[in-house]
Amino acid sequence: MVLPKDNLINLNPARVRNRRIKVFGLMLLSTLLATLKWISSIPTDSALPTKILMIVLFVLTFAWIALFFWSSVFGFFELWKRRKVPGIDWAEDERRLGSKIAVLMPVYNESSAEVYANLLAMAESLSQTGQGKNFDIFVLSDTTDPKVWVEEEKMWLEAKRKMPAEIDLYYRRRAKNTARKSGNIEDFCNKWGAEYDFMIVLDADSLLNGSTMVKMAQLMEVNPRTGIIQAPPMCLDGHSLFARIQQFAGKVYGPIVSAGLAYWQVGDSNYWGHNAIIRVRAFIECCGLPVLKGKAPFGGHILSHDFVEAALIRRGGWAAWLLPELKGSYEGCPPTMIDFATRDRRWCQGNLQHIKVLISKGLHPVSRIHFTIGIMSYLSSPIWLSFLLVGMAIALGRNFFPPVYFEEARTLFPVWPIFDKIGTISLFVISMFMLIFPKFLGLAVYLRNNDGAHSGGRFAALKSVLLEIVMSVLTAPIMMMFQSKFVFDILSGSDAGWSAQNRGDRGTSLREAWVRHKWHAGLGIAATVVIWFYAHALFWWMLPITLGLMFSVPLSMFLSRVRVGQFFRRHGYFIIPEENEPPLILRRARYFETLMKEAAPQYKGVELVVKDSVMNALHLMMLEVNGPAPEFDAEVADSAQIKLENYLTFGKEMDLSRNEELMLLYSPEILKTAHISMFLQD
Amino acid sequence: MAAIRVQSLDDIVSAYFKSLGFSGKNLEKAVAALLTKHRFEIETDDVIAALEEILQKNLDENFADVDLPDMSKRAWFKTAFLLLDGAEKWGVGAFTGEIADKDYAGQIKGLNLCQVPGYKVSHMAPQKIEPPHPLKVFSRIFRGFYRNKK
Repeated sequence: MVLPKDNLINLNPARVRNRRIKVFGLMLLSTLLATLKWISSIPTDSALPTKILMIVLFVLTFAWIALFFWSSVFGFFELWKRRKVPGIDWAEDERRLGSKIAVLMPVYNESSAEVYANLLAMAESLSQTGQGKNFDIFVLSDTTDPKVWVEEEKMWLEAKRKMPAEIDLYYRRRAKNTARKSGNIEDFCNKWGAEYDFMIVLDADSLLNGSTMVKMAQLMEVNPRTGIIQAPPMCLDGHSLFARIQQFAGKVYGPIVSAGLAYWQVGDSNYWGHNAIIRVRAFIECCGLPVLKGKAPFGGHILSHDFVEAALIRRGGWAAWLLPELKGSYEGCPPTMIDFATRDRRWCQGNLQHIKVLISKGLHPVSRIHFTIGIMSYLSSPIWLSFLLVGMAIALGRNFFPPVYFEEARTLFPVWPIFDKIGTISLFVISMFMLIFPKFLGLAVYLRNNDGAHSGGRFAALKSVLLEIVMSVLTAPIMMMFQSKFVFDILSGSDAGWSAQNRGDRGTSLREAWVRHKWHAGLGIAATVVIWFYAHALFWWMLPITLGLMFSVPLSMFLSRVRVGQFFRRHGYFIIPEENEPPLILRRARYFETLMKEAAPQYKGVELVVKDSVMNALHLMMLEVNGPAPEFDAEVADSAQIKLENYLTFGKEMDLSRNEELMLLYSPEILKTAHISMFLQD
Repeated sequence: MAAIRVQSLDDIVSAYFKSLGFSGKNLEKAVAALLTKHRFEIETDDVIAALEEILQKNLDENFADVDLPDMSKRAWFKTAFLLLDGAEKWGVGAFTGEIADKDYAGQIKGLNLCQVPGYKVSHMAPQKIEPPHPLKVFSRIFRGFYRNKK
């Protein structure tokens, strides 16, 4: 079949259309049928506005579940039949690369040892492919912590010595981190982008096999109209119970979710911000992000830039692919529920900001669907909460305001309020089925591909899925409360800010859990008491929700513990093959991490730059590339110099504030003189 | 600025070389060689600036192809010099440019202490993200309707 000339992908547009009609048609049909049933199930004596509200909330909640369900079902068939994503030309593994690729690692106050260890492992893996010379690695720092800044410089030097000879490792830090990560990448493109054909964007905890990176570059070469290829990352190396559950869920359910998305998105896929390869020319042409009108949280710089960049690149006439076939793409997972929620707060603001972008001119309809899915993934929580509250209000109202059986106009028979209990229960069962059944589809694919030798056997996988469902039921209401609050905060104008993500295994303390969950627990207890006394019929139905909320404090602490994670591992729960037999790249990354930590300096920040000759010279060498120093108050400059003077002359602790330390680090003459004067002290 | 207490010229030059890894007899030789060749006024900062100037002159001659701003270039050289234990290997000669080992420049460059490659500038123009004007949406709907009717 001859394809239209302007076809971006190697697939008949009718086939692409058919796929979308199937998924969205079934979603709409199932939502319509369920809504009709729901309309007939609402108590007949409810007021009209209440009925309308209940119907709207039901449609939004059910449609969301239905899309997830049908997308997963099609994803399952794709995986079961072992079909590859159609429309993209698959390059041969032996193909020699002719392109130049930059691997970008944007960092923001991260653990330098881990960042460089991951890069060393990836560089080594690239070198083993024999195509390493086509790759350069850039660490693009937006770090604001002066101590981490100096550590990054030190670790750069250490890592550079350990790098394979054919791969260059570069480091650049921005003095001002305009537009956060997207601004960081844009700065790279403006300064060095023209030198490279493609860029592979990573996150601080990303790990990509060399062969995967080479395959991504080969695919870009043989598909010249492709702008982005996303390799779905798999969560790995979690130790707390929370992280282990996530990585198990990602391993078992993730493939059908990705395959489902790839099924209907085809060449109009999304970009998740990391573990993806991008055609630099297309990115430079199409992806300069504007500053949105208005103030944060809706205006200002675009936070969740990845979705917008994918939409813009698609608008510019380039294809974007999500390819579940690309294995060897990994990322870390947040170790605790609180860390997960903190990340969610940022993502929530970024996604709600897309409301402004969603209706922008010229976007591909599928890009608009991506934005809608992103927005709904957060709005669904307050919608669900409203749905529960309205349902509870109706039940309580019935208790305080009994039904009127005889209206003012005289009738022969009483007016019985009709409530279709069986209909409501059947809708509940259908909703649960649509939420849970895809998990078993994922399990079926997982068991077919894994014989269980490295994951504790088939029974272990089954019992893990069952326990994961229990855990999801308990944690879902807590996440619903978190996300509802985030949405409320954002709508009332509160900005998320930019804090570094915690990636280390530290358990949640009682104090921390209490501060973050006290309202959840309070609400859970209050709801349980009220339901018990005034809407007793709902008690058992609401228990899965109220139970999670009531015990949110101990549950959050329990899930955050590494010891608990290991306990469940010993008993055969949530084991994935990669846990028992870690991939080579992860083992190498941990090995390099040990080496890098051994090389970590005794002193930090200004003290290190003043005491250590190599670091003094290295820091001054690197300062120029940072760009012009920011301005500091005269007061800060004076006190910083006095403290340094006292340190040099009397050996007093410097005890510099963050700004004082930054000011000194931006002062080459002071640092040089201070370093030389260290030797005069001798 | 962090000031250096008034010291003798020997002390300052000696501290400067110590910061470059010189010690023991090597240090004494370096200080003596430099002081014989150059005259300094006894003003601490000036002495350091003068020493940096000597170094810069040497770098401009022997590393003309290294395209870095002056301060970065001196720092680059010092880093490499320290990492290669230049004080022991080449002594003060590497510093003043009087050196027998002709390969020393190659060794310094061979460390490949390049922080970033040379710029190849592009410009990412901000793209338009704007909702359509409501009136235009209506006119488009009606235009479409009219065409369909035709």
